[in-house]
Amino acid sequence: MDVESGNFMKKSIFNISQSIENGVLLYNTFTTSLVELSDELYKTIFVKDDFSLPEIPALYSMGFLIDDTYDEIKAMENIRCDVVKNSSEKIANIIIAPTLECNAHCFYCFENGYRKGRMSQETADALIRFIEEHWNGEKLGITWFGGEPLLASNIIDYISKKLTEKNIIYGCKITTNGSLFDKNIVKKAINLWHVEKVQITIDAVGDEYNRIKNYDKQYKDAFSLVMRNIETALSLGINLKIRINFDPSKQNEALEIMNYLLKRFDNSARLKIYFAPIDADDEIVKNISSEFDEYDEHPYISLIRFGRTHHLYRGFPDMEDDTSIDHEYDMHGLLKKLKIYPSPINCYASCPNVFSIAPNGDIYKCHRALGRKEYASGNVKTGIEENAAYKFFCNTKLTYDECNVCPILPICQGGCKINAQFYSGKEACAPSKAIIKDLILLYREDISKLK
Amino acid sequence: MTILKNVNKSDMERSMELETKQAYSACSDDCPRCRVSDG
Repeated sequence: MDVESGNFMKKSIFNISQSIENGVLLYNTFTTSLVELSDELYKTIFVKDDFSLPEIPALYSMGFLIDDTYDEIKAMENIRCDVVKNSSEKIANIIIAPTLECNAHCFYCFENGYRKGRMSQETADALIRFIEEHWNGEKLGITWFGGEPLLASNIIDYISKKLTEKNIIYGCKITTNGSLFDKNIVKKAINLWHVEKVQITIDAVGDEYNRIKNYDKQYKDAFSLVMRNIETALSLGINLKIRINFDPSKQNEALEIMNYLLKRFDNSARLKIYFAPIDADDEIVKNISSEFDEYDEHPYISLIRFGRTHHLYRGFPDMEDDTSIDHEYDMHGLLKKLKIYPSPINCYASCPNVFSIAPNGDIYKCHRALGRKEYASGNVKTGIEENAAYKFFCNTKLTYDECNVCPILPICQGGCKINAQFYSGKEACAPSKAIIKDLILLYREDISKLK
Repeated sequence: MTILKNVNKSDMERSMELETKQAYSACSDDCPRCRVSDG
C-alpha cells in the first residue's frame, strides 16, 4: 500500500461523520478513533476522494481510510467466526427457567402465549445430570429465569442442594419481578442458592405499575409490595439491579420511576438502576431504534443524559469507581457505558456452549425462545440436538441485508436474531443505532474531561 | 485536523483477536446487541 501517495485507498464504511461548531466530527466504529476536521478538509478527502493530502497517512492508520481491496464486512465475519471457533464445548453458564408461569401479565412480554409449565423433580434430576456431563469444571454461573422463577422456589432449592452435594461450585443471578422476594426467600437466596445478583424490573410508579404488570388478583398493591421487598433485600445485603422497562414514547414515565427510586433508595451502594427499552411490535410500543422526529431529542438519549446528570451513568456509579472495566482502547469504559464499543460477536447464543433450559427440560440456544418448541435443540433427558434451530443461532450470519452496509456493524455484529423473528420492524438493531451521533458527541465530551 | 483519539487499526484488530478468545457464555445488561438481560 502506497500510503503516502494515497493510491489504492477507499473510505471505511464504519466512519460516522457529523457537523460540529467548526467543522466535522469523524468517528470510526471499529477503531474508535475520533478526529475533528475543517469543512474544507473533510470535503476534499471524504467527498471529493482526494487522498493526496498530508493528513492521509494518519487517517489511514486510524482506519478512516483503508486499502481499496480490504473487505471490512468479511473482516467482521472473520472475527465472529473466531469467537465461535475459540468457544469451549463445555458449559460455563446456564440459564434455567424452573417455570414459565408468571403471576404478572405484562402486555409486552415476549413469553405471552408460552407462560406455562413448571419443572418436575424428574426433569430437575435430568438437568443436574446434563450439567454434570457438560460443565467445564470452573465456577458455574446460573441465571434463574422464567416466567417468574420464584413461583418455583422449591425447584431452585432442589437443584441448588443437589449441585452442592455433587461438589459443583456455582453462583447465581435471578431475574424476577420482585413480588415474591420476601425476607424468607432472600435469606434462602443468600444461604442456599448462592445468589450474587438479583434483577427486578420496574415499569412505572404506583397504580400505573399495577396496571401494566396486571398481577393475579391476590396482589392488591403489588407496587408497594415490591418496594418493600427491595428494601428488605438491600438491608440483608443483596446486590440488586433495577431494570426500568420503558416505552420510548413515554419517557416521562421512565424519568418518574428513576426519580422515585433515587429518592427512595439513593443511599444504597448495593443498588444499580438502568433503563431498558421495551421490545415489541411497533403497533404496541414504538421501537427504540426508530426516529422520534416529533421530539426535540430522541427519548433514549434523554434518558442517558438524565442518568449522567444523576451520576448513574447508564445505571452504574460514576466513572471513578469503574476502573474494573478499563480497557486498552476504552479508558474508564466510557465507550462500553455508552454501548458503542466494538464487539467480536452479536450474542452469546452464537456460541456453541450456551443454553437455556425450559421447565420441561427442552434445551434452547436463546432464553427469549423458551417454550417455543420450534426453537428447541434437544432436551436434557436426551441431549443436545444440533438441529436447524441450533444452527439458526449458532452461526455468524448477519440478520438483515442492510447489516452489510451499516456503519455500526462493529458494535452490534448483526444484532439480535430472535428479535428479528419475533417482531416485524428492525428490532434486531442495537438501540444505539438511532442515537449513534449523539452518543459520539457524549463520548467527545467525556474524553475532553480526561485531558 | 485535530486528533481527539488515535487508535491504530492494526492495534484494534489485535485487541479484537484477543477478545475472540474470551468466553461469551452469558448475557448481561451490558450487551448492546440484544438489550438483555431480560426481565
